[in-house]
Amino acid sequence: MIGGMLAVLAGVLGIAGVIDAQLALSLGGLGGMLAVTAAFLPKPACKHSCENAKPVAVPEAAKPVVPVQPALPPAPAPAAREEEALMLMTLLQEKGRFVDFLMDDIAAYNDAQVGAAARIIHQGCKTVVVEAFKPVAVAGSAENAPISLPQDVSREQYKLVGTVTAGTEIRGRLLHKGWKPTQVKLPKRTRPLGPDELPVITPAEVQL
Amino acid sequence: MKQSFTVGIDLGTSNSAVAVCSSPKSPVDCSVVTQIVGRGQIGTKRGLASALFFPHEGQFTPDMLKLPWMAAPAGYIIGTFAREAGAQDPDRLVHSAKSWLCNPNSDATSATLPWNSEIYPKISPLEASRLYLEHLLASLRNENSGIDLSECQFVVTVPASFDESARHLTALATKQAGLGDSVILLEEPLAAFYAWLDTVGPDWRKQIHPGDVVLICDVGGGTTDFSLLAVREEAGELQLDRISVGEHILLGGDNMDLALAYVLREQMETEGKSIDDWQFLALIHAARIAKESLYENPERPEAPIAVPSRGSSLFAGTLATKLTRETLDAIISDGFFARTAANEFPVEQTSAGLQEFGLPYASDAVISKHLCQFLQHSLRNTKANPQLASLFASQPERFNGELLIPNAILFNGGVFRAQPLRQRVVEIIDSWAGGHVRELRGADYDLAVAKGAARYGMNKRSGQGIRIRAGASRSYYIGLESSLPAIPGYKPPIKALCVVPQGMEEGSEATLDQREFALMTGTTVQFRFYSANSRAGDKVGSVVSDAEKHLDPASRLEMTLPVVEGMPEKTAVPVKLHARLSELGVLELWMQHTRSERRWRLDYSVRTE
Repeated sequence: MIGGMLAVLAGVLGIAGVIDAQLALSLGGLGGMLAVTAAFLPKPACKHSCENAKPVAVPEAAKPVVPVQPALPPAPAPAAREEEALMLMTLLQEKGRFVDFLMDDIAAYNDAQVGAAARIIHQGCKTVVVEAFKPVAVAGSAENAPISLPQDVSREQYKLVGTVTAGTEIRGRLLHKGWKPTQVKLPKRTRPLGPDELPVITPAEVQL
Repeated sequence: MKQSFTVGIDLGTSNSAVAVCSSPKSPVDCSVVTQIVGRGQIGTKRGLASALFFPHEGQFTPDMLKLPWMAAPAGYIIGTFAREAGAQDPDRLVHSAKSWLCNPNSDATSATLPWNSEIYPKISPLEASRLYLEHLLASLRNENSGIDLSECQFVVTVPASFDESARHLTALATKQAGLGDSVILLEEPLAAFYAWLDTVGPDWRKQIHPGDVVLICDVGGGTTDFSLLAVREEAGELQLDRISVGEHILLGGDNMDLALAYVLREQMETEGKSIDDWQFLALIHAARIAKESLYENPERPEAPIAVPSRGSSLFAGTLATKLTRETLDAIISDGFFARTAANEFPVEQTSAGLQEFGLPYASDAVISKHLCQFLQHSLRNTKANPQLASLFASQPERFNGELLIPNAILFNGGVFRAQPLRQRVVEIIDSWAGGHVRELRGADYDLAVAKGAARYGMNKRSGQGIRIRAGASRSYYIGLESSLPAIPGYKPPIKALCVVPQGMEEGSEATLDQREFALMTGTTVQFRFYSANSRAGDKVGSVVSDAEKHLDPASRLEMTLPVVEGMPEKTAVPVKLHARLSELGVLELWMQHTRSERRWRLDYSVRTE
C-alpha cells in the first residue's frame, strides 16, 4: 500500500508541512488579563500595545512563588486595549474556531458532534494560549494537599478562602493551583487602528 | 573588540533559524524571527519557514504585508504566513529553493520559481536564498538593537551533501545579502554535532571514545543527510575526523505527515466522509499532531483526528476519525523506517518514457535503505583511502562485511523527537551489525544546526573548544574531451582528472603537475567539472576514464584569460591547474602560469547546457 501512495508524494510535496504554520500562534491581552500580567513582568509591559509583541525577558516558572511587588504600570490606552483584545479573539478564532464554537447553537447537536468540535477548539486555542502567555501554575504543590505560605504572600496571586489567623505562616489546603502567564506575546497589527476603527475578528471568505 | 558576536544561520530547505553567541563562555541563544504571521499580523517565531509567496493582486492591501524594516511593502511574503497562504495556492509558493541550488540540470541563477507555474514575476533559487537571508538579518537587527552586524562573524550551514557549486551558490547568496567575504560555511551534521558538544559539556568524553565511529543522522522537513565521524586519540586528546558524507536525499518529515494524511483521507472516505482540498491541509496538520502524541504516549492505542469545515458551523461540519497505532506503525515505523536487511538498497525508479523534470525527489521512501547504502559507500570509501584506512589500523574487523557500522548515533531533525523512531534506527543498525550502537543523549532536534553554527564560529575565533577535522567532503575533477576520431553514433567518453582529493584540508593547496594547459590570451575557456563522494582513493592527477558514468556532474568552470601585459595578443600561455581550499571552506581553482607567479581564477559558470 505504501509504495503506491508514496509515489504521489513528490508531486504534492508543495503542500507538505504547510499547515504546521497554521497552529503557530499567540493569544493576547484582554485588558483585564493584562492588568494581572503586568504584576509579574520585570518591566512595564504595556505602556503601548506594540510592546507586547516583543519577547520580554521573563522569570522562569520555577522561580519563587512570592514576587517582588512592582508599581503597577499605567493601563493601556483604550484603543490599544481594544486592539489587543481583538487580536486575541482573532487568533482564537483563526487557530481554534473559538467564536464559531460560541456563536453556534450547541443544543442542536449530539455529544459526539460537540466532542469532535471540542478537539479542534482545544488544539487550536491551546496553542494560542501557550504561545501568547506560556501559562504556569501559581502554586507548585498538588491540589487538595496542605500548603503553607508566608503571611505577606501576594493576595493577587493567592486568593485566601476563610479566616487568616495570626502567626508567621498561613496554613491551608490548596483548592486550585492557579495560573499565571510568564509572558505576554501577541502579534501586533501591521497597520495601527484608526481612532474609531473597529476591525473584524475574522473576515468573511469568498471563493472566486 | 572586533566581531564580538558570532551568528549561526541554518538556511534550511523548509525551515531556517538564526542563533547568536556573544562570547566563548556564554550560551548560544536562538533569536526569534519577526515575520508576517497572519493577515495584517506581525509577530515573532523561533524560526522562519523557508517559503515565499507571491499574493494575487488585490488579495491583501499593501499595509497588511509591511514589515517594520521596509520602507514600502514588498510584493511577496516570507515565512510562516507565506507557507500558510501558499498551501491554498501552491502555484504562487516558492519552496525548497535550497534543493534547486544543488540541481546540476538547472541554472540556480535564472528565475524559475515558483516551479512549473504560470505566475510572474518568478525568482531564481539563488534570489530566494538571498531573500531568506536578508529577512533573517533584518529581523536580527530589529530584535537586537545593540547588535552591529558588520562586526559579527557569520557561519552559514550547508548540507554535507552539497557539492562545491552548491556551496559556491550559498556563499554567493550570503555575499549578495550583504554579509561580506568572511562568511564560514559549515556542514549541517557537523553543526548539529557542535551543538551537542555544547549541550553536554565536558561529559561528551564519557559518551564517545577513541576508536568510535559516530553517525550523524539528520532527517529534516524535506531532506535526509548522513555523516560519519571517526574518534581517535592524539597526544592524550580526543580528535574527531569527518570521514564520510551522504547523498542529498529529498525525503523528510513532511513526506511522513503527508503519507499519513493520504491514508487518513482514504479511511475517512471509506467511512463515508469526503473532504475537500482545504480540509486536506487541516488533515495533514492534524495527522502530524496525532503522530507526535502517539509517539510521546506509547500506552495510547489511538489518537483522535478532527477536521473542521470551512463554514462557521463547527458542530455540523466537523469530521472526526482516528489515527490508530496500527496505521502509524505501518506507515511510519514500518514504512519509512522499515526493518530492512543489510543488503537492501534504495530502488531506483527507472520510469519509461518522458519523466517530468523537477526536483529529484527520492523515489524510494524507506530511509533505512538509504542509510544502508550510505554505510556501504562509507566502507568502500574508507578502504580505498590509505589515510582514512589508517584511522582503523587497530580495528581490522571494521572492514569485514559490507557496511561501516557506527558505534554511536547523534540524531537531528524534528522527526527524531519521537523516541520510538530513534529506537527503531538503533535497532536496525544493531540488526545489521549484531552489535550495539549507542544513542548520544542530549540532542536538540530542532535548533541544533543554527546553535552549533554559532558555537563553531565562536570556537574558531577564540581558538578554544574542539574542532572536527573535515576538509573537502568530495573529490573534484575536471573533464577533458578525449581526442578520438569522430565515429558516427558514438559519443567518446569524457576523461576526468582529479584536482581536489576528498579530505583535502582547509587551508591547503594542490597543483595538478601532470598536465599543462595552453590558454590563449583574450579568449574564454570552459571546463566540465565533476565531483564524487565515494572515490576517496583518488589523488590529485588520478584519471577517471568515463566521467559521465562514474562521477556526478557539477556546474562548469570558465575563465577568460585577459591580455597579459608584456605578451602579444593571442599568445598561448602555459598554465597548470592549482586548487586551494580556503580556511572558510571555499574551494578556489586557479590557472597558474608555469613560468611566473601570475595566476587567474576559474569561476563557476552559471550557464547550463
